[in-house]
Amino acid sequence: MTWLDTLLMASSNLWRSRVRTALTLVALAVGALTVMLTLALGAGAQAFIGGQLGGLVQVNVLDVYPSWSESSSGSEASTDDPPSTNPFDTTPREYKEPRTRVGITAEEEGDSISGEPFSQPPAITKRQMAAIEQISGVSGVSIQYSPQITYLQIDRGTKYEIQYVDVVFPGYQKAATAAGELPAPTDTDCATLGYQYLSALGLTEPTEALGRELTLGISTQVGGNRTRTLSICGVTATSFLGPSLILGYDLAEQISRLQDRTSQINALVVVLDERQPDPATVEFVQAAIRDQKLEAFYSQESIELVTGMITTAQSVLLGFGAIALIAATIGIVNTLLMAVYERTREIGLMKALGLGRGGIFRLFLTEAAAIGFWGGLGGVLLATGLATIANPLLASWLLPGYGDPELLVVRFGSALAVVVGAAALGSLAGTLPALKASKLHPIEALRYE
Amino acid sequence: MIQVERVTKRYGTGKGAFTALRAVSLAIKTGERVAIIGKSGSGKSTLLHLMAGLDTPSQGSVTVDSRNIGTLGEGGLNQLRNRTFGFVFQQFFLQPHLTVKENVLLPLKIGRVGRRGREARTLEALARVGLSDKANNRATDLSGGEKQRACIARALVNEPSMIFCDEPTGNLDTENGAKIIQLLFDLNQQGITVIIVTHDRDIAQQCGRIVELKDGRIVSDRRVA
Repeated sequence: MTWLDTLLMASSNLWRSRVRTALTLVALAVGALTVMLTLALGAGAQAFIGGQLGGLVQVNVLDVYPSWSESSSGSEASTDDPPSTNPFDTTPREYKEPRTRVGITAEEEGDSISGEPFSQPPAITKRQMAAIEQISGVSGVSIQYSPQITYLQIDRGTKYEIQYVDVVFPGYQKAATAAGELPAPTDTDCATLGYQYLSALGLTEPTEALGRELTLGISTQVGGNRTRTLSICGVTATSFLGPSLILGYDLAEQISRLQDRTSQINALVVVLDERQPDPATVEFVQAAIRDQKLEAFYSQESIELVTGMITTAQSVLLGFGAIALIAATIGIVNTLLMAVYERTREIGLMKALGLGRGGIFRLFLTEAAAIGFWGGLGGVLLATGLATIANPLLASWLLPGYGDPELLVVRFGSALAVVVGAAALGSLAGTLPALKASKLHPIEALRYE
Repeated sequence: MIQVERVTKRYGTGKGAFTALRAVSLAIKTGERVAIIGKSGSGKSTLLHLMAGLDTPSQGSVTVDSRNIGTLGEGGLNQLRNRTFGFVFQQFFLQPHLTVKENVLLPLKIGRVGRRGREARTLEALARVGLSDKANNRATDLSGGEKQRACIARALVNEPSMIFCDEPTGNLDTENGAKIIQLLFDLNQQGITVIIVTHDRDIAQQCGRIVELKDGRIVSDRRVA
C-alpha cells in the first residue's frame, strides 16, 4: 500500500469507532492542552518580563548603599509608595493635599515629631566614592538622587500621586519610550512621563502627551510647597513596575538640593565599562565595593530570580502535563489493541490479499500517530482559544494598567512541537498493537471469531 | 500450473500435534477446474491454503508456475497472492463500512495500482459479475448472492490466473449457490484456473476434476466427463 492509501485507510478506520476514538482524543488533547498552556504561560511571562522588566533594568549598573544597619535607603523608597492591594497595580491615584500645618508635609512631620531617638542613617563618604571610581571595570560613579515629588499635574489639571521617579544618570541606558525620548542627564526643563498616566489623562496615543506642560509638586524643608514646571519630552514604554517619571540627573540634583537632601550621600550608581558585563566582572566589582564597607546590588539578579521562579513553576506544570500525556498514551495503546482484536479477520483478509507485515504495521502505526496528531492539534487549538479568552481577563485582573500584555502566548514553534510530539507519542504507543497485528497468521486471523 | 509434492502439514507439537496432510502430491494444470472434496477435518482446506501460499508445508514443496513458494520469501509470496491468485471465501470477508467498489479495489490498493487504473479495473470487475449498479452501495446492503459476487469481483480485479474458492456456496441458498458456481465456471471458460473446496457433491460433479481427501490423504482423483 502506498503511504497515501495507508493514511486514508487509517483515517477512515479511526472514523469507524467514533466514540472510542473521540474519547482517546479527548484524553490526549487534555494532556496536550496542559503542556501547551504551560509553554504559553512560560512564553507569555518571559516576554512580559523581558519586555517590561528588561526595559527597567540596566545590566551594567550596580546600586551601592551603605552597609545595612538602619533604614538607610528605606526612608527614600517606602514612604512614597502608596499602599496598594495589588503590588502590580499602577493605576495613577489622585493626589490629595495633606491636612497639615502650612509648609510642612506629612512626611516631614513624621520625621521631626517622632518621639524615638533620631538616628542618622549611615552615609557614603566622598573618599569611598573616589575609591570606587578607581576599581577597574568601573566607568563612572554618580550619586543617586531621590527627589521627593509629591504630585504631578498636566496642563494644570488633576494632581496625581507619584509612585517612583527614575533619574537619567550619566551612562543611563534603560527604558525604551513609547513616544518622544528620555531627558539627557543635563536637561532641566523636560521629563519623561510614565505610560500609566496616559489613561488617567484621557489620552490614547502616547504622542498626544508630548510637549504638554508638566507641573511637579515639590515640598521643601524650609520654603513650603513649591512647584516646578517642565514640558513632557517623552512617554515611557508600557512598563511593569515602571517609573512614574524620568528626570535628568541635573534636574534631580536641583530638586534634591531644594529639599536639602544633598547634605549626605545615601546611595550611588556605579556604571561598568562593559555594556553586557560577564558575571565574573560583576562579582569582582561587587567584592571591591564591599571592601569599602558598602553594599553593591546587581539589579539583573532580581530578574534572574523572577525568571527562575517562573521556570520552576513551568517545570511543575510540565510535569503534570507529562503525566496526563502518559495516561493518554496508555489510552492509545488500549484503543488500538481493541481495534486489532476487532479487526482480526480484516487483517487476515488483507494479508491473504498480499499485504505484508510491514504494510499492516504501518497501517496501525499510522492510526496511532493520527490519534496523536489530532489529539495534539486539538490541545493546541483549545489552548489557543483559551489564551484568546483568558488573556484580557488575566491582564485586567493581574496586571491592570500595563496595556494589554499577553500572559499566555501560544508560539507557533511550541505549538508545532506539541503536535509533532503528540504524534510521535502516538506512534510510540502504536508500536505494540501494530506489531501484534503484523504478526497475525492470515489463516488464523481469518478464522478468528 | 501448481505442483504439490509430498506435502505434509502438521499443526502443534508433542501430544497436541495434529497432522492435517500426509505426503500429498497433486498437479493442477492452468485452465483446469478442480473440486477438492472431503469431510470436515479431511485436510481439504489445508491443501487449498498451502496451494494458495497462505500457509507453509511442514514437509514437501508447492510449486506455482515453476517457482517454489517455499523459497519466495514474504515479499514474493505476498506479490504472488496479490497478482496471480484470487480468493473467494465462504464468509465473504467484505468490509461492512466500505462500499462495494471500495471492497473490490482493496487488492489494487494493496498492489499499489494507481488511482486511475484502479477505478477502471474495479468497474470492469464489477461488470463481469453483474454488479455495476451496486458499485456505490454499502457492502451490508447486498443480498448473500450479491455479496459473493462482490467477492468474486474482488478476486478478479487483479486479473489473476487462478482463483481459490473455500466453500463459496456455503452461506448461500441453492439458487444463489448455483448462480455463483455458474459465474466461476464462466471465468474458467475465460482461461482462469478455478479450484473449489466444497463438501457439496452436486457442485463437485460439475467440475472437470474431483480430488477427494480423507484423513489428510488423497483417496481419489478423477476426471469427470
